[in-house]
Order: sequence, then structure tokens, then C-alpha cells
Amino acid sequence: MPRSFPAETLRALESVVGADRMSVTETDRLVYSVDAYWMPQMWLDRGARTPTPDVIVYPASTDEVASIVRIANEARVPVIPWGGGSGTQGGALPIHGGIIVDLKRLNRILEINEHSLTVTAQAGINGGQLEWALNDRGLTLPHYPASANCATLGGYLAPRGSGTISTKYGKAEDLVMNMEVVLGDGTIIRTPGVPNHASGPDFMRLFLGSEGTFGVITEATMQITRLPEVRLFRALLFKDVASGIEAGRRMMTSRLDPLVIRMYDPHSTRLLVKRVLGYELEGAYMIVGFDGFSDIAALQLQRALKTCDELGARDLGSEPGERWWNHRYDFYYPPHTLKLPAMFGTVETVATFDNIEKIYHAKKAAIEGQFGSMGVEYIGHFSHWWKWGASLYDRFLLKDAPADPKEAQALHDRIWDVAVATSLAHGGMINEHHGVGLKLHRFMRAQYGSAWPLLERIKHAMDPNGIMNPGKVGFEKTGE
Amino acid sequence: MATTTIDTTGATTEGCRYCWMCRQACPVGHVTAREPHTPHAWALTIESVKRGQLTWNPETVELLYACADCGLCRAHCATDRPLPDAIAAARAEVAAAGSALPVVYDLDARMKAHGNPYGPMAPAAAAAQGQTALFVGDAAQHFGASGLAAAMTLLEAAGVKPVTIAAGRSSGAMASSLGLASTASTLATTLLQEVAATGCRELLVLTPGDKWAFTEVYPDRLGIAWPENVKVIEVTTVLGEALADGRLTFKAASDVPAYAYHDPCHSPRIDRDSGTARRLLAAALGKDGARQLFWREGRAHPCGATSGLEFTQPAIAARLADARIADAKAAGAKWLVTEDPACLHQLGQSGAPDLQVRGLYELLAAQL
Repeated sequence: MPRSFPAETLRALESVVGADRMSVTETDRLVYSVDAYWMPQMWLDRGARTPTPDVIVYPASTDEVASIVRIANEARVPVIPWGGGSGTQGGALPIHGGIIVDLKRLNRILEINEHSLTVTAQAGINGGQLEWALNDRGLTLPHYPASANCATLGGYLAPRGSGTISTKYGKAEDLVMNMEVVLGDGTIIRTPGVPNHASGPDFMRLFLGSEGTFGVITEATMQITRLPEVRLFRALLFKDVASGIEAGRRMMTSRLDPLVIRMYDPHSTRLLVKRVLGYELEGAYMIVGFDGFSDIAALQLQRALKTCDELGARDLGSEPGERWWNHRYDFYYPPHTLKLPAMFGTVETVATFDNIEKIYHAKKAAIEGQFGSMGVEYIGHFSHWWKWGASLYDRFLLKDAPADPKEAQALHDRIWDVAVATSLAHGGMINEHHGVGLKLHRFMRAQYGSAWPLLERIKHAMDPNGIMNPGKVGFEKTGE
Repeated sequence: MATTTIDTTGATTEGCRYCWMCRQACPVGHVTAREPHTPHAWALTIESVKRGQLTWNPETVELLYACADCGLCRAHCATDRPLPDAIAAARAEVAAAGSALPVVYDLDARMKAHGNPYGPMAPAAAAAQGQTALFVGDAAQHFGASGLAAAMTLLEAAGVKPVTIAAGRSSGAMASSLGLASTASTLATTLLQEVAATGCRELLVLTPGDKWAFTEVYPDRLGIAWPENVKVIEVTTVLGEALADGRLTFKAASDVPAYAYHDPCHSPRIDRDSGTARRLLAAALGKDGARQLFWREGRAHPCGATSGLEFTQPAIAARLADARIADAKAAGAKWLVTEDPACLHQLGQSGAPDLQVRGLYELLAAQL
């Protein structure tokens, strides 16, 4: 632990959680210095150390979290909430040191309401374990992110995550009813019981996407649903991205209610679909799925297939669709997942149907045009669909990244600059579902323009001393 | 067949260090709620030592030995990455360098002297030859005389009369988990000699952990092939088959309270029908009292008597046992039933006056 961390603050923290629920060991601090963001992994991989926390604490209650934040606020030291540590944006990295608040002890399910179909749980509960508990009762939280096995409930909400079936059930933020939050001065607040009301502003939304910069989410009530009678999947092959996007647009705007539409661009189809699912195909590989009562889902699927047929799609049948569903997370396990020493980044975005195809072509042209000669590849799939548009989950990949970490970081940042600028120039957002964190921190002013000062004023009201996860989501550390 | 070492497991730890996908299954991470107690963190620690960013010191070694080697991470890995083997290999490196926890060397000395980690128990020599043998092992001899006797009674009722072997002697699995590769190999070799001496074609085992030892630890970690002509079969499997074909019947039980079955440690990591023990219990005790634990079957968490954790990290082991008791109580059970004698001992130590820990074999035998 650096000598600058106040000893009296350590003693105060110990008085809250006890010596056995805090750590300053070198090993523990290293473990909390890296998450699923490529950057700290790359630095560690290339032999450098990344910023570590000064201390890690393991609170067991909201009151303890509040006490920790009050102590930190008094000492003006950073507080960084930590859930599963599986975020890809560096949102939980202790870049200015301070106190990591590992919330995994807050892991209790407080109520499953089978009448109103809600679940209330503490924010540190593991997503997979929460799902098992619901499944045991024939229920499900219909938020199925690839990180479900590792992320926490708080981690679902703080960065506004999307899951595989968000096309039907919405993002995590669409499923939340209310939340308990500890603010930057240690105040504990609870948002109103239901989200859809006309009783004043919906300030709960401020915490969705704030990634710990406004406060610590300690509890949430989520909408749940019953497990469906059936889930039906079908795989299709389009000749190109354009016809696939048009098929998706028609499905989304014709009162069909798909569970999933996922379309891999031709490069992803060649690369990933072959590697993970074993199908060797040329074109844009699409999965469509419907759930619910078997007769209704079958009818919806039939109508969807008609739409795809009108656009020249080849029906590959249900087996490849089912196979994709059963192996949809395999893409994220080693050795299938992108890994070091390669360089990679998910530069995903979301836009209206007017713009989403333009963005895809523009980003592909920009990234391959500017960095293709260095070996940078561009791949993408369209994974979350709305009645007004879709998200593009696109990535760059460089197998032979520079060995020098500074060079690697500089190139990485240049590619990101191009990717984000291209998204913004064509009506896209800088992110759809991974959040902002550290990775996209520097793009927030460009994203929000004249509205940015308002966000800064809100931040100041929530966290007057700037202790909450500083250096993230566009909010600088106080004094910088 | 090669021995697994730190040099052969690099690809595993390199991939697992930045993979979080088995987090939901890890029992240690669940009870301690600490990020460093998760599979990704163990892999990251091992890789960080390799890269010179950490060293094996009391702090890192303590962390390395916090893994229960229960196999759940691998069982829940879509790409079947053998991280537990890599952790055992890292422990072997640490142990060989003299940097392991002191208790590891105590256990090594005991296993070398007595053939088991518990202390003097005169190991019985192979009693006889026969087509079917029963591996008794260390815990059944040390803790479970009544369980062993009940298992033999049940087998006899099913028409199976095995010769017993290795009474009081460890399989070598615990030694392997602790990083004591040489001791593990010695124990394995001794066992194989005894198996050969019996001439058996079936080796019955009382626990899933023993099956894992022979079918996976020996070939995968120790580089010792299990004889192809000897099938390793759980006693519960034999009894389940006898129940299904009518060779085994039970009289009706009365006054049976609500009960739940604890899948013994190591269950999720082996090929096993988790319904067999439950069907036996339902046949002997009735279905009405059966309750379902949350941590069951493919996600069954261990009780702490797992690969030596009860010796190296007794506090974590106790928390795992407490968690199993809490799970049973939450399910409304008054009896928590299992067959592994080490599990029965560990759970029994948890001390819950309103929950009895009962042996599967004893309960079944009482209903013959």
C-alpha cells in the first residue's frame, strides 16, 4: 500500500468491516488492478504493473457500504465499487488508487414475488446464481448477457447492459423496478417502487449508466418472467449485410416479437461461426428466435421466415439455430475468445435503421482503410434490435500487436479514435451496452456536446467531493 | 502418458487468467465473496508469478491453497479447461521448492508414514482374490466403520460380494491436490499393485471422489494409466441397478423427516447419474420427505472435506460446511444425507442441533 494512504482512514474502515474483511496484500491488490478491459491486461501481459487500490473492503450490508463511503468522503479518497470485475471498459479499475468496495458479500435474494413477477436482491449477487434460483421456480430474469456467469446484479445495471434476448425483453435498465443507492456522501436512498409513473422526474435513470460515479447500487428489484413453453430458433444465410438488416427491420416493424435476431457479417461468419459452431458458410449468418406458447411462437417464426425468404435468405433449418443458442456463450471462453498478445476492441454502437448500415460500412472502410495494411481486421454482428434500429457489435482485431506496451496503447487508442469518430459522424452512439468506464471516458464530451456541463453539475450534486469512481464516464478526478 | 506439471499447464492458466466464465460455480469464491478466491484470480496469480510480477511467498501460497480442487470450474467450462490440474501443478512446484504451507509437509510425512493423512491405521493387506473389489480408502476406515459395514451389507443384499482393498490407505488424490506428486504417485502405484493382486475386473468405490482419483487424477495428473480391464464403479451405481431390476428392495420406513441429499465432494467433475442416490433414498425413505438443495447435482458445492482443504484452510472448509447446512435448512430438511465418510465427518462437525447428518449407506441398510 502506498504510504500516502491515510492510516487513520484504514483504522476507520477496519472499525466498520473488521480486519478480516479488508485487505492490503500485494496479491489481492494486483487481482483488483485488472478487469476484462484489454488495456490493463496488455500492460500486465507485457510485464508492467497497473494502478492498484490502496485497500479492498468487503462490506456485508448497505449500512456498511454507507459507512465506508462516508469515511472515504471525509478523507477525500476514491471509492470504486466492484462486482464481478468482468466489465470490458475498465469501469472498475482503481486508476487513482483508493478503496475498492467488493460487493460480493451483498449476495442475498430478498424476495421473489411470483404474483407481480419481481425479484428483489442485493446488488452483489452473481447473475448466474440468481438465474439458477429463479429457474428452480420456473422463472427467469430475461437479461442474458454473455457475462451472466460472472457479473453481478449491480454490474448489470451500472453500465446499462444488454443481454442476448434484449430484442424482446429490453436491456437491464428496462427490467429494473427500483434501486437502493448509496450516494457519494454516504446517504442511502431508495427510488420509487415502480418505474412507470407521473410522480415527478425519473431520477432512478441517473444511476443507470453512471457506473459508480454517482453512487453505489446496493439493491434492486427487477421484473422477471416465467420460463417460456418453447424457444424456437432458426438459422438463415443472407447474401450480404444489407439484405439481413432489411429483414431485421421488417421483422421489428411488423409487430413480430422476436426473442433474438443476430446477424454476423460475412467476415464473422467465416471466422467465428466456423471456429465456434463449425459451419463453413459464405454470407451473413443470421439467427432468429421466438419464445412463448408453442403455437404462437411457431406462427411468429413462420412469418419471420417468410420475410427472410422475400429477401433471398437461405433457410439453414432449426438445428444450426438451436446449436447457436446452446453454444451462444462459447464464443467468450478461451480459446475461442480474443486473447493476448493480440490487440482487440469491441467498438459497438447503436443507431436507427436509417444509419446502422451506413455506420457498418463506414467503420469497416475507415478501420480497414487506415489500419488494414498493419494487419487490423474488422468484424461485426448485429445483436440487439429495436423497433427503430439496431446495435452493431463490431470489433477490431490485430493478431500481431506491437510488443512495446506504449506503442500498443497508442495504436489501440488511434483505432478507437477512428471507430468512435465514425460512429458519431453517422448518427451512432459511442456505446450500446458495455458502458463507458475508462475506455470511452475521453469521448463523453463529444457524445453529449452542450449537454455535458449539465451532467457535470448532476455529478457534483451526487458526489460533491468527486470520490466516486473518479476518472470514469467522463468525470475527471477532482482537481484535475 | 505424461505427468502434469507447471510447464505443461501454461496454456490453461494463460487463458483462464482473463476468463470469468465459471465464476458462478466456484464454491470458495461464493463463501468468501472475495475476487482473489475465484478461478480467474488463481490463474492470474500463477501467471503473475511466472512473469515475475509476484513471487511465491506466504501470501501468494496461502491464496494458492485456498482453491478447494472441487472441479466445479472445469465442470462449468464450455471448453473443458483443466484449471484444477494447473493449480495442482503450481502447488507441486511450490511444494518442491519448500514454500508450501507447513501443514502440507506434515500431511506428506503422515501419508508417507501411514498411507493416509489421519495417522496410524494399520493398512490391511489384500484379503483375497475376486472379480469384484471394493476400495475402502482412508476416510471410510478412519471415520466410517458403520458406513463401510452398511455398504457391504447392501452389496450382499444385491448379490455382490467384493473383496476389500486399501483399507486405511489414501488413493493419492489428496496428495496430488496438495502438490505432493511423488507421494501421490507412490500411493497410486501401491493401489494398482493391490488391484492387480486381487485380479478384479471391477473396482467398487464408496465415493465420487475415489472414482475421480482413479479415472482422472491417475492418468491426467500423475501420468499413471488405470488398467483398461478394470472398471471403476460407484457402490451407489451397483445398488441403483439392483434396485431397478428388483434384486434390492426396502421395507417401508416410518417417521421419516424431511431429508435432502448432499452430492458428495467431486460429484460434478465425474460422469455420474446424480439421480441414483436420490432414487435409492426415495425407495427406502419414501418420496414425500425429499427436499432439494440449491447447490445440487451439476452445481453441487463441496462441504469442505475436499482435496485436503480441511487441513490447509480449515476456516474456509468450515464455511463450506456451514453453507451446506444452511442450504439444507433453507430447503426445510431435518436430515442431510450423503455417502462420503469425509463429507459426513465434515458436515457433522458443523454442529446444527436441528439438522442431523446421516449416512446414506446406513439409512439404506436399515431399511433392508
